Amino acid sequence: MKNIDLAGMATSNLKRRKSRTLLTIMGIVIGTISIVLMVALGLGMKETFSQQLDQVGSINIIEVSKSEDSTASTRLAEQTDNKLKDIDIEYFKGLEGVEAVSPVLQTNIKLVSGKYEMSASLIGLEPDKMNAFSFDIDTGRLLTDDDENVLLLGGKLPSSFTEAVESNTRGSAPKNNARGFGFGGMKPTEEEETLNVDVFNDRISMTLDTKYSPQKGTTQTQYNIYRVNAIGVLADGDMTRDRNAYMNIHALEQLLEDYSEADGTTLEDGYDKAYVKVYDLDYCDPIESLLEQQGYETTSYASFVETLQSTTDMLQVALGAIGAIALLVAGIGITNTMIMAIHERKREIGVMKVIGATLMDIRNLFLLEAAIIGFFGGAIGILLSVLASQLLSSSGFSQMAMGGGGGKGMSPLSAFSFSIPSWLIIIGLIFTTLIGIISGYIPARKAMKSSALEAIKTE
Amino acid sequence: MENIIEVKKLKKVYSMGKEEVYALKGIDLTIKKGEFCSLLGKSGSGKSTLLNMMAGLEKPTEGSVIIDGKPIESLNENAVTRIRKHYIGFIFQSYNLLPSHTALENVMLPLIFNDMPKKQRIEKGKEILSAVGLGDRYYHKPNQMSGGQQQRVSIARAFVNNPSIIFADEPTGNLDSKTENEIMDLIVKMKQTYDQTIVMVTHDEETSKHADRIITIKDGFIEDIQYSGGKKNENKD
Repeated sequence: MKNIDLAGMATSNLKRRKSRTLLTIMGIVIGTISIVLMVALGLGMKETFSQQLDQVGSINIIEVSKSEDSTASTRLAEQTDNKLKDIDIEYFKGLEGVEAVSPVLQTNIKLVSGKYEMSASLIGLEPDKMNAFSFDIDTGRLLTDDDENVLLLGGKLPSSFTEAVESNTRGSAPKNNARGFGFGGMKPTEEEETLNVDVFNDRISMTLDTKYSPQKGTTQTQYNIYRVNAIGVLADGDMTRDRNAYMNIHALEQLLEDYSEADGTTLEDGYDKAYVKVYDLDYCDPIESLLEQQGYETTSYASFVETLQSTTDMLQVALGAIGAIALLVAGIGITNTMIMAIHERKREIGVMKVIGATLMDIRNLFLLEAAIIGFFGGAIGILLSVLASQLLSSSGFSQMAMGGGGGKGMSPLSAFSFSIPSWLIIIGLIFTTLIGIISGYIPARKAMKSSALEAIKTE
Repeated sequence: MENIIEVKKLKKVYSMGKEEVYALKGIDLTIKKGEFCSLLGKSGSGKSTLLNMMAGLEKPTEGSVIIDGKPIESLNENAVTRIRKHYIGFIFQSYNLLPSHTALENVMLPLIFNDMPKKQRIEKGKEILSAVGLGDRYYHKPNQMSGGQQQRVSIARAFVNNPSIIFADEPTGNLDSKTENEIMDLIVKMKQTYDQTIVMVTHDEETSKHADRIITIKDGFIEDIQYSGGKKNENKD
């Protein structure tokens, strides 16, 4: 029997039982939609996560500090305090896979300009390491070794100045002019924003006194007030850096010494922590566990990334499994339809066998019918999935789903994000066709084995 | 003349639970090419079993069936199907047309299994339908036709492939006597036109008289073989 005749016979048989064929196809369509949308949702989430991760530019940077619990550790040097020493820094530099190390000093500061103020974290770094730590500049420049009282601001800092709370007696909330928070607390878009302070030109004072207010001044004498300038602003979007200010570590050391002197204490020698940059994310794990064995404490985004990845993987498996169950049920539907068809067409099968259809012809005919159901179910299902995913990920729907969430700047993929790559479409089609064939296999064998003689006997 | 079918010491035993029922108790029979031969017998005589075994639809318990020199009793189902496809056409008592197919489609079915291209199939199908007198019924479905017409379609389907042997199992069993005569005349006419070998099973003595040779089967044995001149001339004109 020729293939074209086989195909013609199979389609005409399916057409003959239109409503049953359509219902069976519908089962496959529903199964396909659920599996494709589930997988697409998983893929979309993965994409969103990896986009969010991209915003963490410092992914292969390990933050190292001394462990609080120093007794349990084998130390390189006998130390009693919790600071890293130069010897530690040198040790980090010597580890395999380490690209750059910078000691870090960290303190909290308050920045004041006119009636506006803001709190931030001030981080002292070795300026010549900034390139290695991939700091992205938006405006201005990075720090240099000669810089003293100049700041490099995180991407969100210039817009973070707010009007100072005048005093506790008035109790007025801080105003932020023209900030216009969205319903969902989304960040405002660029064009809505007018900056309270021009960080490059306005006069900015800095103090280590976090309770400082421009009206009252500082109450504690040990706090100096410094005049500072911003020399650069980092690119916005790295959530680990957006709200930090950066300074030459030597200048910061000087500030801290001044503070200690005024306070009458002695500044402990050493660093709060160190940034260790490794060449590749793969080095993160071994270096981190090595350092932890040595009694250091480490934090990095590598473990965060791993958790995130395994979470999305698990999610995808779970979502896929739900779809797979739907498709399995649909497959059973095909089997059922084909068994019914064979039962009905028993006589017809017998006649065909008697007048010359080979066993192969019979088997192929039924397999093909099942495969056609699977293929069309898959094709329609995928088509509907693509439409549905476009509808669901369109910004309109996302914002609706977010409860009227905020403004033009909001990313539509934060709510529902589906990704249907072409491989998913192709695999989906192959898969549903295969399901048709597998579901049709037992009925087809049954048809093949049925006795021609029984079938044609006159009842 | 050449032997187209040889049946040797054919036995068939059905087991019905513990009981064994002998349908055929040893049949020896030779059918020559171009012969019209009828197997006459009562219900349960074993005539249909014999036909089924000659057509390869059932396997004998003992003995052999040789079609055109090839023993078929030991072949597997696929091989038997191939033999049937090339050598054998069937006419059934209850026509066994596919109800969803038109007359033409039913007739073309054996040609599909023989890989004949569509255009040729249609040509051949129409030609043979005209030959059985259904030139105006190509696109009628079985339920739109009378019993006699359906049997004509069935005859056309059996002859369309130009097989060596046509088996007819009670071809007139479902028809009234007037139509019966028409159908028998048609079978005889078609046999002559296409020079076929026909083996017909019937329980009706009158019907069997259309054949060249009447083989009477009783209780699984051949009881009697009669050569008749054929009844065909009586009915002509």
